[in-house]
Amino acid sequence: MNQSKEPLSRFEEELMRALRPVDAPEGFADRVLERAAQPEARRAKVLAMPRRVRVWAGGAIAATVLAGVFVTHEVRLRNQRLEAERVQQQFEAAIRITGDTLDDVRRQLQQAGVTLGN
Amino acid sequence: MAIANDEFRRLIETHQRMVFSIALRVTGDYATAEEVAQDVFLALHRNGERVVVEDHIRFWLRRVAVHRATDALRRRATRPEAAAEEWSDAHEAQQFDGAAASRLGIGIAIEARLDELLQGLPETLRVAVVLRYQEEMQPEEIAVLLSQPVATVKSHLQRALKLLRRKAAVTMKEYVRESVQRAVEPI
Repeated sequence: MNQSKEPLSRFEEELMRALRPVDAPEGFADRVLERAAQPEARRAKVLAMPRRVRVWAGGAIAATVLAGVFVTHEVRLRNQRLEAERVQQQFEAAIRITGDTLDDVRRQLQQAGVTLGN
Repeated sequence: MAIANDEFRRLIETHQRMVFSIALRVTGDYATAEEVAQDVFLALHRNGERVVVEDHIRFWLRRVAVHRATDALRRRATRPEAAAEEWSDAHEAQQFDGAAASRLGIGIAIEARLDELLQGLPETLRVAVVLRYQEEMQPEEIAVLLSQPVATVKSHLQRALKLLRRKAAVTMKEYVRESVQRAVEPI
């Protein structure tokens, strides 16, 4: 990597001195090891997800909800379409039966010598 | 698979100073910094098998320390983030502990004050300053660590330095004035 090492100003040198690393508190390593050995504590930390994971999890949940809404909507449309087709078939059957019945009646009337108008 | 205990202790002892210092300078709070630093090492413990090379461990620890510390800072929100432009000289002057400075001597007072002034910087600028002047990283390295363009990092550093210079000048003027007053006061 092409790194620029520009000389520091006096102020920057002061800043560097001011920001010298400080020692961790006494017994820090022991406390970390102690926590690492406690499964409860670790589980608790797993629940406290880092921000980046939270963002991804939030995105995944939102995507799942959207997919759920889309699927529900599609299923509802499909059911409505099927119902409409069923009603249409029933209507056509009813029309057909009515037409056949009227034809029978007309035929019987003609045989009896009755002539209908038109 | 987690890191073996002996190896984990060695890693903590090697890097605890760096991780704790980043956490402390970013959060500005000793207790929070310890909590953050502990969390960083616990995360390393859990992800040990993926972080094996020493250089990578250092990079990883710095990156996670910065992220965790900024997360902690946002959660805590006890120190509302002031816009850089909204810094008030009066407020800064009020925070300055003149008595402490006189006990310390002017050189140390400047350093102590700079460390304190750092806490007033907006979070993004503060992180850049900590990585540049505490960790002595180059802007290019900071850019990689923070996944930011180098130009952004340089701009943050320039803004931060400008603000710190201005505030340090105000502070030191007050310090010198107080010192002179104390010197001429009859005992």
